[in-house]
Amino acid sequence: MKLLICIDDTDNLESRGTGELAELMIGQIETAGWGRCSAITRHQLLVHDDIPYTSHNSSMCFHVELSDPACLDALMRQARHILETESAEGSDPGLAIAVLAPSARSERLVEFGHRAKQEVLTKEAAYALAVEQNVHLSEHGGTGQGVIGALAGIGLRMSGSDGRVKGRLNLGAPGAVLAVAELLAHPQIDAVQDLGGDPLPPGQHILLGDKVKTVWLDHQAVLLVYRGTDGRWKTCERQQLRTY
Amino acid sequence: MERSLDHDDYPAAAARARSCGAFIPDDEDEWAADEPCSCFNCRSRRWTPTAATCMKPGMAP
Repeated sequence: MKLLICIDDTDNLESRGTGELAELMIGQIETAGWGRCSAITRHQLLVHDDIPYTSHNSSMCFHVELSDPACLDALMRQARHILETESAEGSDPGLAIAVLAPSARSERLVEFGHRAKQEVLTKEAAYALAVEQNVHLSEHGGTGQGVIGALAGIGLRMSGSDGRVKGRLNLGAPGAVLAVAELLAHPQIDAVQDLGGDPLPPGQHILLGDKVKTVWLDHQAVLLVYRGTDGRWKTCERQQLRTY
Repeated sequence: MERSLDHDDYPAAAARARSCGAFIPDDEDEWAADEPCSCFNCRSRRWTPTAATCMKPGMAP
């Protein structure tokens, strides 16, 4: 059984971020032996005066491959417990958990995710869609406004092409040069592409930048590269990845 | 000091952070600028549709 879990609005300006809470959740799920978890993706939602986000309005989502469907109830209890005890004062935490069918893609959830990047949505709309799509959606403090971003994150991860993968990769020192084939051997890189979406050949060499991150495209962790003015291929910098 | 910076003004964000005694780096996953010490990478900035606003108490004009 596969799940998607997404959390949103758990922090304040002084606290740890929502991504760290997602990491805490993953650690507890794996330590308990309930399942194996994927990388976390960060999904940017709309920044708007009518949305009460902390600083950037993003949600954090990950997959879980449950070791036994009987673990689901315990996992959900623990996820709720973490949000209730670890979220920051003044935050409005929301939790969404979707049990996925083998070929899971709900166009309604994907559409909701895309809309949350472009327009102000309501809790009522989120709850109505969660009921319709059989997604667990719950709020755990404050106004509970985080349910909107949590459900949107489920849809955006399900879309397969949204967000940046949390964390940076340790591939070598900045300035090191690796072949694409070597990069693809890394367990956290599924593809190496240029900014136009074209894959690079295995023998192409890539110059590593200061901080190397992947983005989530076509259901894969993709390392994006660009050709510098000197003609060399380089990993994209943070400013280039900002729109993902 | 201006309270807000245009969200594409990377040079000003770096210059301001270098001279600010209150810069605290945010979670690296939330950094938006290549230069580490930048208002765009500070824990106290809040993004608006067109700008990054400093939320640090006492930093307002």
